[in-house]
Amino acid sequence: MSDNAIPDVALVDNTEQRTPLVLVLDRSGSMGGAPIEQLNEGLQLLEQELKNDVIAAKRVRILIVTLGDFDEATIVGDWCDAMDFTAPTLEANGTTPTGQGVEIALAEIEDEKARYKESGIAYTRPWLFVMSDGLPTDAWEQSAAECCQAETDQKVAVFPIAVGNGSNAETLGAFSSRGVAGVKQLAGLHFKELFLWLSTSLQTVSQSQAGDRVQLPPTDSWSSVQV
Amino acid sequence: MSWQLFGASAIGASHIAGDLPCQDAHAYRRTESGFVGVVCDGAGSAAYSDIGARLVCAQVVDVLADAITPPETLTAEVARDRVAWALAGARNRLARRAVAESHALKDYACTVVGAWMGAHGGWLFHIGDGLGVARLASGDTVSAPENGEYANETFFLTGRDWTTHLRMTPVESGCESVLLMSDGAMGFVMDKGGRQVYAPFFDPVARFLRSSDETPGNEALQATLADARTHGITGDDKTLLIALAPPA
Repeated sequence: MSDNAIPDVALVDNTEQRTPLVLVLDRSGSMGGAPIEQLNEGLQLLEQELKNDVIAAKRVRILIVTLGDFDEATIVGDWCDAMDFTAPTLEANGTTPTGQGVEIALAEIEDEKARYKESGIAYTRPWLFVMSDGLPTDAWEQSAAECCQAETDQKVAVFPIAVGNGSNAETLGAFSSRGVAGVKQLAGLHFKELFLWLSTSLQTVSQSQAGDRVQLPPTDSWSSVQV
Repeated sequence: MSWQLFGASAIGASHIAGDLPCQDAHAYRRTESGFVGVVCDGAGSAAYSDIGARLVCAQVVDVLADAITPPETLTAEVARDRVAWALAGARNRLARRAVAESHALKDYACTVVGAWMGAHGGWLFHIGDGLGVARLASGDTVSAPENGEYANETFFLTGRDWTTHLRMTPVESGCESVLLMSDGAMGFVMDKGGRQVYAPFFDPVARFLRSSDETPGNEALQATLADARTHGITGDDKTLLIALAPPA
């Protein structure tokens, strides 16, 4: 406190604002070995980084949906504030029901927004990450179209991430209103760099005020040239 | 006795980190029977919003403070017309400056929250976010922020449809104090939900300012808004204008 500040003033945070984030994560069999290990480490890094930022820890809300087993999209745990988030340890197994996973994510986002509205809590645009190393194994076209529409209607910001050689970029692009141009290609297995970027970006967005055009950090640390 | 007026704008931590200027501004002036005060918050995405904010608050205060009729005697319709006239004048000035400097009007985007008070009440006027509150014995009269669906979207005086977003709130007679603030200050000046002033912040501030002259009072308010503890609450600029009514 500076010397000439008014004494005995309480300065506490009464802001109620949230930034919802859903991670749809591919843990299908092909992610086995190094990729799933790196993904798990990346999630732990995300947990740490968000907890280290006092504002983001209070404002970012996280939900994880995994894709695996016999075409099963599963919600891991429940929505939680970043300060209460514990990174899960995912095991690689099964197929890639991307369509189902995105459908669940979109429904969860609308439910979460409804809860904010009910409680009079302000929020920034929800973020949806869809990360996969392969082609969807379910009927994904309808949910991709819905996802595109949701992004066009500004209901959500969609970030498709292609892991591996990028052969699935076109399919993942169908989930974004920006098409293939909206897909980021993960360079090698730079999950750590990706999650560092995600956490830095969330710190910026969760603090954003009206009228800000949020400038996200560059993605070169983890993304190769767009495919 | 007349109103005691204080105001301060402190640059936010993220503005310092991003090498941005303080984009908040405030202005106030005592009138014969009351005062006029305005707080403007320049849009983070607009290149010259700090200039927009400064020009708008200064001009609107000047125009309204020159009015002769006490604001509380005006009908809602007439009061709104007068305020809209003052705002339109400031907006025109921005538009002329934009043309002269080859900028766009939206480069000067800012929100407006103001108070136009006489001896027996008056008006809060508001475009966009930020917050105004008049404190009466019966409770707080609040002019709440208007955001889009998302907390980081709002409306600006420079917008095409600014008149539809101009909101007027009548303030009854017997008001003890008026606070005008930018959204950066809301998190710690207001309580959770933003429906009333957060007493553990404001009571010590009001007590201190009651016994202060204008210049030392403004310096102390400035230092309080710049306190490092606010950096854990907001990265944004923080402006607070406080008007304390003369003892009844």
